[in-house]
Amino acid sequence: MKDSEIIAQFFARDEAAIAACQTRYGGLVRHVLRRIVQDEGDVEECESDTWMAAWTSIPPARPVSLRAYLAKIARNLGCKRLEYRTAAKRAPEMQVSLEELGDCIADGTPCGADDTALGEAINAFLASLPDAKRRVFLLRYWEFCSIDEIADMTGFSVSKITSMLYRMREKLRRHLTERGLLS
Amino acid sequence: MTKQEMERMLAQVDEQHLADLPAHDRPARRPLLRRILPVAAALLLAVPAVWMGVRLAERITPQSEVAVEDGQACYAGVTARMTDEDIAGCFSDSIMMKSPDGAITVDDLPTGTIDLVGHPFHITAAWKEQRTRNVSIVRLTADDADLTLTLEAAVDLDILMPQTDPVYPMGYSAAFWGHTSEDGRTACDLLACGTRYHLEGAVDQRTAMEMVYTLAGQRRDPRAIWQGETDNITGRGLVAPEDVPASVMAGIVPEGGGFGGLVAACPHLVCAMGETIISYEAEFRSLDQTEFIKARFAQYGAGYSGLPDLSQDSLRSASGEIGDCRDYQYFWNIDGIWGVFVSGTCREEDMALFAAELERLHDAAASLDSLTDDDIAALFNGNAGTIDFALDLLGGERVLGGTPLEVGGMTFQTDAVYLDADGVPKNAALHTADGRAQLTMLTGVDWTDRLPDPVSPLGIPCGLHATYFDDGQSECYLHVDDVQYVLMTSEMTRREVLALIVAIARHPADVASLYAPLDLTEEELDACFPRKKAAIDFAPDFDGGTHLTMVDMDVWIGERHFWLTDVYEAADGTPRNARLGYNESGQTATLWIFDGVDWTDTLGGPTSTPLGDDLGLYGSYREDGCSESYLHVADSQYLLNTEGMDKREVVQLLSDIIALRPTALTLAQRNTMQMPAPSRSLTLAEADWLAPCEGWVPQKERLGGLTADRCLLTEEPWTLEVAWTANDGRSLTAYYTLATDSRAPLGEPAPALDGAWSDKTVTQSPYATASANGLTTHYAVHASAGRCQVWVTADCLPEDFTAFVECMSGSAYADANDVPRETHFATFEEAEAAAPFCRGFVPHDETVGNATLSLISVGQTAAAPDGETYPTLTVTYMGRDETALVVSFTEMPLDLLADDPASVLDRETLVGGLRPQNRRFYDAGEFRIMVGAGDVPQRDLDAYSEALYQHLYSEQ
Repeated sequence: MKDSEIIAQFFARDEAAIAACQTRYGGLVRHVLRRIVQDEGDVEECESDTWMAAWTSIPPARPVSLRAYLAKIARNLGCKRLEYRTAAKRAPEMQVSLEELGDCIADGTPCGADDTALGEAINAFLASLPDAKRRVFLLRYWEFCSIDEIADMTGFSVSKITSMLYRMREKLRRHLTERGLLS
Repeated sequence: MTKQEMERMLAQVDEQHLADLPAHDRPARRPLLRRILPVAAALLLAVPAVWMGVRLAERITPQSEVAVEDGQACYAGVTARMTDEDIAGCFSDSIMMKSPDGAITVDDLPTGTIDLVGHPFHITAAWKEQRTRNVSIVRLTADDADLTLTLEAAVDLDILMPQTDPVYPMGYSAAFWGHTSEDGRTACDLLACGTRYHLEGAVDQRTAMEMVYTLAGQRRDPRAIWQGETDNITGRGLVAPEDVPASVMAGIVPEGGGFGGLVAACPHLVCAMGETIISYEAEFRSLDQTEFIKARFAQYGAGYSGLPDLSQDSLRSASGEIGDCRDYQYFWNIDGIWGVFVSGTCREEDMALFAAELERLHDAAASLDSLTDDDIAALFNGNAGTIDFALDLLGGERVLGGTPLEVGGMTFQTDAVYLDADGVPKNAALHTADGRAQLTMLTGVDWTDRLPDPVSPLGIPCGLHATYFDDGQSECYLHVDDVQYVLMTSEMTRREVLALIVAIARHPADVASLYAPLDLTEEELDACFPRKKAAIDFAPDFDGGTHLTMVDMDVWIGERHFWLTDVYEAADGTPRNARLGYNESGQTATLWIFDGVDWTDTLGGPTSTPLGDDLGLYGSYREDGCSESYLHVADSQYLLNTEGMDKREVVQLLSDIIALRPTALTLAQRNTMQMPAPSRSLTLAEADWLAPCEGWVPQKERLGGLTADRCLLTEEPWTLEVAWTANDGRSLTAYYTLATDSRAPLGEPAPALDGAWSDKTVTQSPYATASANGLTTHYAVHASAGRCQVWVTADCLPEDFTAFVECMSGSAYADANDVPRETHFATFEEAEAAAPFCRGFVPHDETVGNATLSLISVGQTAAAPDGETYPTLTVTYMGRDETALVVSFTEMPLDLLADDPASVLDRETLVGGLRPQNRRFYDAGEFRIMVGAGDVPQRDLDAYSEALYQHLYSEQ
């Protein structure tokens, strides 16, 4: 079933939309969640919450990309769930991923920017990247995939991905510095 | 920015950036392996860990019943600690691993017995690998018991893909499957360190389990058994510390001692895992043993990917707490040779002390001073001369100048930076002011398959092949990640050269960092907008040209993402003008491109500008933020209009245009590379016959080291695609396409459509772009075969491409010299005009029955047995089902043309019916008609006959 048809079902308040989402994007949602919350029970619960959030938000929302929309919901729900748990139980790959990025751009000094400014900064940065690099960056720091997994998905070698990530982190640091978000 | 702000920022990623991420909608490809891999380091390294645990237990609890006499029995006796229930739990599933099918059975088996697990065995079967022809599987049967053992080497769990999950009763170093059948026979499999141990027999589960684990602990190898090993291998696999080469351990492993409040409780445990992994484990414990640090040093060989992937940074750590217990995990990657894994429950300051000591030892080990002259001389192994690749600086745009590079105490001036088609810096050429060193940097080089055994100086993860010549010059090829550094030196000692290499390897420079950004003063910025010559007699010559509707194609000019919106081509079909648009963040720009314009007369010659010499640069920047710039580079004209950009941004954009120097031709060519989907596959011979460039498709299936493996014909535009591939993945793909439907991708415009073969020259225009596998070289090969062009994309070796060109040229030579010339026409009218002798006999309908005109040619044929040649017109109709009807009109006498008089029809017969032969001959008076009916349906023959009759009738 196409995304547009699923969205039409949402608009028609047809509960089959949820089943269609589960079929089409269940794997994606669980993949995203497993990178954030380790407990399989939490994954299941967040997955259910994801479908519910989609049900309540569509309409009025009409996502351009249903895949991205659901992935984003799942990620936010996963992060919220994590906040309820102790940080010590963060998934290792998420921990490693955030540490890796944090070592480069989190200097510990609050920049005081609101979500809008932060969003503009990261989206402008992503827009400046070639597609392949952007995907690698997001797989690592948004989906918290391991380097090996990214290599499997993209076909790049592990060393190349490591190198790409290193350069992108440096570029992001410069980008944020230019915007005054980093000292 | 705090980490919380960073996470908030990541949460704001726009959906548009996420839309094309992988869907993950399929289960993991290797679920089992994926579960195992994250702990793969622990898998193999747990062998000494178990042993270590045993030793530790022995040390701490002397009353332990487990006695370890030497390293060979690291698993022995471990089942003693398992209850019967535990063991039964390990035999819960059937063994679903594949049997050794696909291997080659060995008939000539050796005799003699081998003592294994306390029983004498003899070999009852063996298998060879198909690829290496080496014995890799050995089956043995016990002489004194109902026992069969099968040992299989180099087992890849990924290939075996057992359908049931294993259990890990002895830790993750070995995966176990077990099963007991109803008749009491036991079978079990153990996969450890790449070897599979399979046991079947009338034994109880505990014994079976103990046996296979003992074999694994002894590192029993089927290859060694086959080669005559007849006794237990004492110490095999587990090596005493003193047996490890000092060079391996030097400077890396802390020599025991104390760290903070810890003392080394178990200072030396060393395990050699085959030939690829050497690990060293040490444990430091506090006196009350409540705090400890476990350190594991692993040296792993090429191709082993089971260890955690660590950053290329020389030192990296991660830590965390689990529950109420402080459980630190630290990972170091010491120059890729040693991985250091430290875990433990201890005070942070102890961990810090340990880390500091590791760093100190590492720095000491990595010091150049630690190398003797002989060590250094060994690094210059003289293989550099055999490497000749990636020196392809052709193609991409060359930008003069750049940021100097400081490395190893030397200053390199950047002569040039080379940009790829997208304007991204790829390659660079540098030299020192004193001329003693020249450095070339090339990005995107996959060197791993070409340098299988590189030298890594000082343990730095890189590839190095270097030569030091007697005259004091050196030639070094250094590879770090995907960058190749070619260093040429003179008047430098080996040690100096090596110091420079090490410095480069430790601090690999990015070509992009050499790409000097504009740093102009305000005066220089103003100088980029001289108002004079505003009214330039520009060349917006779109009259007579054709506006091509282009697919949306993105073009990066510097950091800006333009869209190609329009292309205009001249009357000869050459793309001449183009327009690109940019609209982002409130800034807009329109760029007009005019190719092939001689502007020097109009402007009085090129001038020097802040953006470079030999340019024409005029324009204005208005106070309302709008600008209009007229830029002239070589024979290209650019008109750039911008809104919302400040002066510096406009100048940067102009600089980027100069660097990229786009032309309408190249942009249109990039567009044509989006080839249509193939519609059908052909053989080479069929392709050659069908292609619009008959005679230009090499008929050899092998070219150089390449083999033709694909030949596809697409309908719109009519393009023939032939691909050759080498075993190592190199490839060459040639596209034969009609000039009317596409443009030559590169270089010179398409040759004139003069309907004749050009001379034998083949124009090649190579350029290189980066690809996932390294550099991809594109070639445009212009060949005038009617309206056909040939262009090639290849990442093959130059000699393979040369073979292709020679083969193709050879075909052309053959056509031009050995075979009478043929001329190809696109329409019947053209053919008839060239063959007046049969005018009126060629049906003008392009469709005859179900067949459609596919090729038409006229020329001399040498088919006559008397050696004479006669004017002949050949018309081919090709049906949608690929059946063919070939009709020739020739002046050849009938008696020479037809060897079967019965097949000759007279004019009256022509009107009437057809005879059942495949070929038919008509005598039309001054010429003859031959119809090669081939396998076309009868209705097509009838249709042709009718059409021919109609034309004959109308002529009369």
